[in-house]
Amino acid sequence: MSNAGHPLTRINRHWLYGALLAIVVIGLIVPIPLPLAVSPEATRFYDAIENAPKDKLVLVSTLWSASTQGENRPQTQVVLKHLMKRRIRFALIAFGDAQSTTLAQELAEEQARIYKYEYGKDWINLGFRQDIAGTLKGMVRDINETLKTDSVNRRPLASYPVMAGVRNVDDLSVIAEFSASGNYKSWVGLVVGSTDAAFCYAPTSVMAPELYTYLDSGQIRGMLFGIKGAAEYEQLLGEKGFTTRAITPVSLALVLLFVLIGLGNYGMYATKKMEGNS
Amino acid sequence: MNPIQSFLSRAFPALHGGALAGAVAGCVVACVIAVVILQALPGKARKAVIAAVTFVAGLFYALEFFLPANAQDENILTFAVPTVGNVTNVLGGMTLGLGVLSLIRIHGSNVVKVKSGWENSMLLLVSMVVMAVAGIWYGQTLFYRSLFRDVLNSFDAAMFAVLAFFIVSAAYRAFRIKSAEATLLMVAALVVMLGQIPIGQYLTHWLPVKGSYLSLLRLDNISNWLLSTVNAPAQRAIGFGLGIGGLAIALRIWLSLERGAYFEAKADES
Repeated sequence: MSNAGHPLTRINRHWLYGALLAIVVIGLIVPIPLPLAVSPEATRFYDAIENAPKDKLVLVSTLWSASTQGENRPQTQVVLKHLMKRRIRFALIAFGDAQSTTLAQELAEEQARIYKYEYGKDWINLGFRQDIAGTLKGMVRDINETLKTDSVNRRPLASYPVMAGVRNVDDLSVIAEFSASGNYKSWVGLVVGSTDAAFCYAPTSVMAPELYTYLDSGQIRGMLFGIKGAAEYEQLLGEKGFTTRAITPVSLALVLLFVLIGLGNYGMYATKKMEGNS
Repeated sequence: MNPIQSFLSRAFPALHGGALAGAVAGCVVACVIAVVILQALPGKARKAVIAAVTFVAGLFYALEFFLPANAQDENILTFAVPTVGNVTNVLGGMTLGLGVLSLIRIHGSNVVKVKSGWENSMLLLVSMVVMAVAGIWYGQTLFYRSLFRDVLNSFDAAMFAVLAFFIVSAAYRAFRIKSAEATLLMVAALVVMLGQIPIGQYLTHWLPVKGSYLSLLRLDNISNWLLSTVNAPAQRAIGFGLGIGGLAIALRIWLSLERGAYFEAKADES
């Protein structure tokens, strides 16, 4: 590395990595007990589930893999928990990444054991579909005909009690998608206009700003803004679990980012000053 | 049942058991023959066939979308949407097979020729075979679950987590405030990010949440305002631009006007 410039412009990257690692570990061990303001988007997502009628099905769509599970898993978990607390029937479906259906299945099984949810009666997994547009168009018309069987037992959907009275997207009360990609455009374009079901979205933080235009139009009812949104939802559920604790390292990491940007810029101006004086 | 549906039902009645297996086998053989014929055709003729198939496939969704629908929100083509969706799913599965073949060809060659880094290629191929065997034949066992959850998931998550370290390093090195625009970007980023985290929200927590002009100065409110009032119109404008661009690209692909595609180069060669 060059020795030119102010020392603050030449901090070895390994110190930066070490600082981030230390802050994340410390943040996980020692959470800072600060309140988190709940955003209107998270409140609307919560209200959509809270007000969902018990005789209708909620569709939980997942499009995430292990790479974004840091954000998408807690989001999915808090909403599944809410559904099971309210004893609302739900169906899982996965798009985009084949890992998604297995990860969502494991998560649902984990929560189902706690809340005594029975597969086939209280919830079902509709499986993974590669073709998003074709599947959604088919589901608008007939879910059973489009998806045919579940992914666990490969039995016809109509044979499960959980699917009783469900023909198409009109029979859903809420559609909740947990995603690491821009799949919301397919839902908004192909499904939202064909049903009264509330469409809620839970993207990763980096994607969330894209969605405000659809929140503004009302096509997306509510949103969970990354892991922060999951923590807000957990707060609305009246719980303080891992998601709430995970906000501390996120906060500290962002503070570290600001400090480093500040140091880098101070170093740049100090260097210019040094060069001006010499 | 509309006339097309009625004709197709008569032409292709539902099959079961041995007849179904025979039909599937016949389809596979027909697909192989079609691929062989396509490979044997001169480049320009192949391009014409591919362009025709692409046009018909695109035309289905265009017609299904634009043709007037009846009271049940269906038109003459709606009945075929699930079937066409299934065809697309099958095609998606085939692209996975193409990817696997490509990996085997490239990395197999590295191993056979003992090229530099052949050990990595070998590891990739062995991992792929082990994971495929575990997934296909031992799907519900601890062996597969352990490979999936303990190995694949952990590696996948770790790879993504490494990004955080690069972001910190990149922000320190590259985020320099050298102009008015950069300053504006920096201030907006700072306010939005502080408004999203409890530590930032705590800085202005003593101000009223709502019902007073002072509430407008709360960081979480400023952050929300920036996202919903400043960011949303900008995203909408970008969305319009992307939409128009996407439409143009879709039309070019649908009508096979896109230049530089693989088959285009092959067609020019012949």
